[in-house]
Amino acid sequence: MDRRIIELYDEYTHAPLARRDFLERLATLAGGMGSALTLLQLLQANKAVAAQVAADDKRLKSERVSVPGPDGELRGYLARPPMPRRCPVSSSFTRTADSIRTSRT
Amino acid sequence: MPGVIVIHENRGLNPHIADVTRRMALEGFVALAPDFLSGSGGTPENEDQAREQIGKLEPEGTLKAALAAAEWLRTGDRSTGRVGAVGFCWGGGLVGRLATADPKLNAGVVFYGRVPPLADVPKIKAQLLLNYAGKDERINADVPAFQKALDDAGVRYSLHTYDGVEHAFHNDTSAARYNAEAAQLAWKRTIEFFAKTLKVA
Repeated sequence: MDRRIIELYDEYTHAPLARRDFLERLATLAGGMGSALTLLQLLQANKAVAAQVAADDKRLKSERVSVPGPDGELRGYLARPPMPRRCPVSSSFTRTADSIRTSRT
Repeated sequence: MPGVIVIHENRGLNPHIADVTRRMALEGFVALAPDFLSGSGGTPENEDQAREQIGKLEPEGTLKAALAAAEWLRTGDRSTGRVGAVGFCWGGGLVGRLATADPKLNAGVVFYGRVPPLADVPKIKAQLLLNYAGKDERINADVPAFQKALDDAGVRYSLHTYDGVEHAFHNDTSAARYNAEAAQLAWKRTIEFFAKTLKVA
């Protein structure tokens, strides 16, 4: 892709450049509005591109969460492999503690 | 498992960032992607609108939100207590600022983000991995001064500039700027870096 197009998109996404001005300049570089709109698909985040890890991938647990923030709730997306909540170290301490209690009674 | 905060671009918490968050989780981290547009109703579908709303956010407010997210992730049995952050573009800038403001942050990874205020660099305790794009003149202009500040302050960091690639080279949903080779290498370095800095007792 023509570097001037990438630079124009970079300007548009980081500077106060009105969308209409951006599209006009893009059309000039692209040789027409039809071409401009096609190029736009390649510049913007394209929802048609498949995720590398599907949203329902069975190896993960994912959920929407709320984090208490200073100016109200912060919503977020949390993902983790479905492992036990306690890490292995603390689980073995729990088992050890149980067996000590058992042997004392 | 250690925690990683994934900080979105100026497009907000969109499907791409959710995907990146899942990729991070598969590597053995509890990964949290906050939506920094929560205060204005959440990230909209339209990326131009998202960018416009991001542009209206108060920097102090977003930093406080990032601090809250890091603290939430490191407490309450949600992770081992070791937390890192990775951010892209706008998110990369916020990771830089978070590193200056959160002495408990263990690791920060920046993808082509704006450098933080240089006067705050001495406050950084985290180790940093900095990934820049060779053709990203806008961001790279400030990097030499940032590097000097990091060196003067004794901050532990690695810096990589990926030759011949554009800003946003890691975003595989934007064909115009995505570079698979650079993205895969930068991601590999990111995971290795987080493993080294976070997957420790």
